[in-house]
Amino acid sequence: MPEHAPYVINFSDSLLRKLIQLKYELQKKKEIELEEEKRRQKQQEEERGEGEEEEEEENEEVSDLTNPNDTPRQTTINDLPDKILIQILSHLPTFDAIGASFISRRWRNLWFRVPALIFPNNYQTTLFIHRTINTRPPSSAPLKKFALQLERYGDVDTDLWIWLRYAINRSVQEIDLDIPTNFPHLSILTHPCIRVLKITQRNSVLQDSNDFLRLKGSLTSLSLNTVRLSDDMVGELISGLDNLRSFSLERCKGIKDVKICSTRLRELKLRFFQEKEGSLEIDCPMLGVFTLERFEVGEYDIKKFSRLVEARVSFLHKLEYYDTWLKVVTSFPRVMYLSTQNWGPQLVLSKDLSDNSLLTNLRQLELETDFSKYDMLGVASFLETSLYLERLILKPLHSTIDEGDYCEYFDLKKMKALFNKHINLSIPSLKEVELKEIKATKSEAIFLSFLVLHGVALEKIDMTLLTEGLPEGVSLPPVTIRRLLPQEKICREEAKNVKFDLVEDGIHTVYKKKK
Amino acid sequence: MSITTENNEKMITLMSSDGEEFVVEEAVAAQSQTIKHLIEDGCSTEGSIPLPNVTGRVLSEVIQYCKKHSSSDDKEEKELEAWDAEFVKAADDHVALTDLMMAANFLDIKGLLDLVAQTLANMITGKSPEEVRRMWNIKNDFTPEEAEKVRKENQWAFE
Repeated sequence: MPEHAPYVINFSDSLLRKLIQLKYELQKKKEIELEEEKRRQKQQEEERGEGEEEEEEENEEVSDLTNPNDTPRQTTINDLPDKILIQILSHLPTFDAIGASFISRRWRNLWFRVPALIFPNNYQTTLFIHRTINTRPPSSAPLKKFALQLERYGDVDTDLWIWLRYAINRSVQEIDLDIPTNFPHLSILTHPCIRVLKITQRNSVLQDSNDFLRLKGSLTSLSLNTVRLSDDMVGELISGLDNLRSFSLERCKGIKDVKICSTRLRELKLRFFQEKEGSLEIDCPMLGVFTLERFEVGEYDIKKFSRLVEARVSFLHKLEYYDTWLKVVTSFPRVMYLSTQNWGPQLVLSKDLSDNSLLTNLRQLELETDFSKYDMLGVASFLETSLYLERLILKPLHSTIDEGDYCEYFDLKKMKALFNKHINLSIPSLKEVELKEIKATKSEAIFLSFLVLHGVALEKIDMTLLTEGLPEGVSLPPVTIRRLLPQEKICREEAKNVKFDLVEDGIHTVYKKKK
Repeated sequence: MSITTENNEKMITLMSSDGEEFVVEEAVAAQSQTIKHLIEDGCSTEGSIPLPNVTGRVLSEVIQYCKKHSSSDDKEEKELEAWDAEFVKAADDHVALTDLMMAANFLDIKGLLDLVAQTLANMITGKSPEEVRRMWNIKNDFTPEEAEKVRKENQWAFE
């Protein structure tokens, strides 16, 4: 017989608040302790400092040999081979990698050997970039990545051309350009060494289309952000690039009827586009990952994705978009990871999910939702169909629908019946739940206790609180509730005797069984 | 000695520098290119594979990583990402991270190497050389002349 039986928590509004209060107090206590510790250390140092000054001359030779902070021998960064230090530096902006030269002899000029040049935002000038390239000795490492972000453009067409030329001469494979306007020498990017290309042109005018179309077949990944294109260009890019696996259009202009048909694409991302008169046609049977985020056109023609594993779908949250949402979500019945919005009672009333046995294969659901009774109906209909769901993440929803809309849209009688109906949920595989930016309201607490009661496999609930209303500068660490014996089944009758234990990595619930 | 389980999965025994033994599936151990090559060269048939550079504590973490990454295919990237973040969070002081980095390097596990490198890089971002030295216990071994030289050498970047 195990000493601790598994818990059942009877969540209530006050309990949830108490949890968060406890966590807050714990953090404050820790901060105070930390400050005291610092003060004590400082005091000690001062005392020691006075003592040392007197002996300094005598000890001068010795102090070179013994490190005053000598702790038991441990592996430190210094023990890592150069190869690894270089790998660490390659994740840093070049400016910081150069700065690392000041750390010690070992780190001096290590940046020459870093295979990446990364110039984020405009805190470096064009002069800095020129100098970096000139300082990098000819023998330095070939480049894997060249990333550049320019806030203001000025007149750097030629400079940019020189930098890109340099990168290409060093056989660069990945280029990430974020520039304010269009670059007239795009053709330089057609070099076959480039595999991954990402372009953001914030204020671009229509390109001379040939520039993009000359992009070569070696390209495996192309992302165009805020670029002005035309429908034909999109079509030709998709059909012309033989090795393209990943394609992304974000905030692009100049398009209207977008048609993406390819048997090669594995990943497609379409974000932020509005054109009431426009249309979207997708036929990519091999697609594995699909993002459609606020890409709103008048007509959608989306062929089934039989291999889709991961999807992210969101529209403007207005009732009239529900049908479109449904149409898109029905195109990938076997998806395993889905991130989307909650459409409240519509889902239940129309029985769209359950009748079409959609989303039965879901493992992870990330849902934007509120916690009103209408929203809960929506969550319930997701949970009802997703028998294999293991992870549930709930985030706040920015909706333009309010309760009044629902009452107007639906028959009141039907509505009433809906709330009286018993929802029988089975979520046998659910292991983890994450609640982001909750407000510690009663409805959230009810939802939590519901989860705990029904989630036989539930191991962990993570919560972060909306920071509004807290004293300034205070941020609350997430509250984690973990089950002590994850394998055991929950017994509802034993719900009364719950004791909370506050430990450092979260709040563990401990429940002792009465003999 | 290689043992076979019910699922016919070949098992491999790894021995840490402090003599701790770990029995893992071959597919899990083969995430490490080093071990994979050792197995291919037939080094695993007699007794356990000794890993003289890796302590038991670190090895158990590395195995945890390899198990996770061998049981899921690439498709479950989302979930893996979240798992990875938790994994490095658990080893959040730099000594533990360096140990992991050393082990990942010796065992040649690319994913783990990238993951830890990114975490360490995040630790340097926005810190002064002095702060980095203090954080990572690095001795400033520049003589005043050298320090001046390095300063001059890199002055162009900081003007």
